[in-house]
Amino acid sequence: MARASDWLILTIVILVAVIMISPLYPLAQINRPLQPSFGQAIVAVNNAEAAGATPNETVPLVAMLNRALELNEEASSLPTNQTDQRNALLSTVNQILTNVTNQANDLTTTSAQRTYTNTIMTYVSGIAAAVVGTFAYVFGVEFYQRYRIKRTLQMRIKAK
Amino acid sequence: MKFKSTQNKRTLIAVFIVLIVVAETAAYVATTPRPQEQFFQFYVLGSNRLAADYYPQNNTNIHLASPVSWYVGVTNFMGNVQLVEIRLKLGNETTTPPNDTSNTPSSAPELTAFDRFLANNETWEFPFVWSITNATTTAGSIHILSIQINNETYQIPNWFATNGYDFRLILELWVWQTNTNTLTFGWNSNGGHRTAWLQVWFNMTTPIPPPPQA
Repeated sequence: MARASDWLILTIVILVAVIMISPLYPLAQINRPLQPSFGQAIVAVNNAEAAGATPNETVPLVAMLNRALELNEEASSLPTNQTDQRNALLSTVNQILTNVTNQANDLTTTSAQRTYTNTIMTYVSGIAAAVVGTFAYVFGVEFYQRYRIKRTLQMRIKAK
Repeated sequence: MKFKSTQNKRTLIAVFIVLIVVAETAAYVATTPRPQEQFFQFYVLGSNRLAADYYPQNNTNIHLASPVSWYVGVTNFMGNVQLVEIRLKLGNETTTPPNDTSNTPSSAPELTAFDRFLANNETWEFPFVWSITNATTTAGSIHILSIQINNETYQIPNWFATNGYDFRLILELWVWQTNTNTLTFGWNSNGGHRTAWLQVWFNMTTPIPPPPQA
């Protein structure tokens, strides 16, 4: 029976192995003036795609995201004294991003249901195909046996 | 029916099991997404949308206020929607270029950046017209003071090249990382990190009169 210290050593060994295997990349990062909601929106769209959303369904969301990006750049390029206009633009950006996130979440739900249904239907179709194939085999064998019997009964004995 | 004997029933069951294994394997293959290589295509083309004619009259020596026309493009093959940013930097002969091994970007000062959300398999290509709008000569070095890119003028604090040789425009591809909520140089793919960057060299050796003394 393993002691607690053995489990502790095993855990440490596994953790060290995981850290050694994971590649370490010194990535440079620059903070851009992007709204945090951009991150939430792109994650929501990625989730919808992972759930099975088609490109036709995600393209309108991408167009909305690009519109938000344009407005965000417009807001960040405004002079500092135009606070009201900047706030109005950022408010619009947040509204667009909220819409994208909500639509992407809805799309995730519908796509997941559709994918699940399609998967079930595919497996059920496989079973149905196996049943049909088995019946075809039965009738094929039966037809062949009848054919053999018919051929046998049609035989004529000729004296040499 | 001829399947009344025990042996025939066994045959029938065996046929059914074989068929169901084959059909369900086909169903599994059809419903399981295939793993694909994840990458970006990043390119810069000349004025005729070819990998040629990058300079006016094919002369690498750029004159003041002489427009240079390129096309910059990115294609997303990551399998999902990505937010990409192209960062433009101005370098000279001593500038450290981006490092593909350590995945570090260039140390050159950033002029501007272009952001875009890209759907899977989508290509974003845009015209990139630039010209040097102000420069000066000091002690044998050409200092570029301002550069115009797509009708936007950018001031450059103190960037020079000896005799005006070996300036370069560096384009780096930065990608939004959803796990860190930041833009990073390059992207994660198949357990590794990849980077994409481009640089185009040019000279500006044309004598430029020094700015008038106040």
